[in-house]
Amino acid sequence: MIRGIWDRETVALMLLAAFMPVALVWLWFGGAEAFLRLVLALIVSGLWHLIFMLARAQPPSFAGAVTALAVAILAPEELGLLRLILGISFGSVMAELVFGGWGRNVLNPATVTLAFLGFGFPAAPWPEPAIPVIWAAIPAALIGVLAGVMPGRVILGAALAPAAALALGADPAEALPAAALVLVLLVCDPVASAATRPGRWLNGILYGGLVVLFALHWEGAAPVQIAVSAALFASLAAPLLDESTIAIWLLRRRRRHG
Amino acid sequence: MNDLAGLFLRATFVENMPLTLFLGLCTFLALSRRTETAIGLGVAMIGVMGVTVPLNQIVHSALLAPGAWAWAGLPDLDLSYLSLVAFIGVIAATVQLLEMLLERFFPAIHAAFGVFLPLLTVQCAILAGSLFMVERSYTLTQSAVFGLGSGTGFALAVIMLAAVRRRLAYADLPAGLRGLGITFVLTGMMALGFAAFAQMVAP
Repeated sequence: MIRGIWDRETVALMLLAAFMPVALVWLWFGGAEAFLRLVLALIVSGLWHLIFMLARAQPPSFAGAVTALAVAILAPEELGLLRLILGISFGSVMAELVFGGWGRNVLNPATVTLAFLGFGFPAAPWPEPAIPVIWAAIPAALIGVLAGVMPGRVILGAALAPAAALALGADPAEALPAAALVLVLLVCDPVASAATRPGRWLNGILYGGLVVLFALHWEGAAPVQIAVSAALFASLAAPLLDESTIAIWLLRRRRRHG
Repeated sequence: MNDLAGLFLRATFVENMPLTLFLGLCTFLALSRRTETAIGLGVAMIGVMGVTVPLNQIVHSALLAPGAWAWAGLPDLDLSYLSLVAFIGVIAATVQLLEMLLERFFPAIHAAFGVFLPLLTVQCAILAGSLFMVERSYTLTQSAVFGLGSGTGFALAVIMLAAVRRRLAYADLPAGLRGLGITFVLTGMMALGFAAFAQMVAP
């Protein structure tokens, strides 16, 4: 994605700027503990970017800070230093850096980190984001969509499924605030979400649908855990949604033009 | 009816053959390089598992299960030690039949499969489907649903992986991870993704 100033780092910086409302409100409510977590995540992520720069000549990216921020906000609590470092290292190395850095990866490194931590250390309690942090996700999404770095169709699609569930009488309301935060921080990653227009709609609908499904049938799960699991599956399916969209386009073109 | 739908979803997502039970990984990894072959493999898996599991259920309950020969005056005869051989025979015959049908009516798909279709004879996920059927004593209907569900889960997983691997065209991987290496990493991440379903339908 290089169009004038629109190179990879511009997109990463825009994304970081869009996350600022969430980050500031979260720091305000989290206090010193939150700040220390963020600093730790930044250091670990930055170190790996540095190592890959030295070893493979991959330019470091501000996307590392985006990952660190999302992980610091959403990671399970009471993990201890070592496990958190292990999780962030696994996510940012295996999901992003070995692919050649941000923009070439398939999955969002923060999503993989959080799924890894949740799966590997199930005893650690998931955080319950404060309500103002979730409200701050709305301006974050607006900035992201207006700046063109977050796919608006994914957000609209993700809103459709819970709306349909509410209209049908199901009640996934408990999981929805955390799902909105995860939607902005993880699912709307411009790299890991679908790239075609119908694919983005489907990507959002799939995420929202999975959140509703998990909220209704997964007993004893924390809202953030539900949302992270749905985000991981939605971004695993994103390439398939794109592929199917392109296949349908090709079929229609062939039918129209012979 | 509801039970059967639950069994289908369970076989598709919760007990996904390659991603939760790690069965059939060889074809899963080898044939996910291109989307077309992945779709072909997926359809073949649905077909073969949908046919062989109920067929093996009939074979098992009519011939091999303890007491199956009671009508002939042999109530103590227990032929279940033959089940492995019998199941593989049924699977081999089904795959052979499928290959002949494909060659006759869909030569393009047959050509796309190449050598992999005969290899489905020794695919562990297909045999595992029949062995699970015995272990859990499914009825004929249940085995048909279970076979179709397992095949669908395999198809979904392999097509998803093929689509993800298509995106790797943009990646710049270290030499040691290219090809199978990164596929194993991605398979692990897909297994993480499917693990959520396992916790959802807790028994």
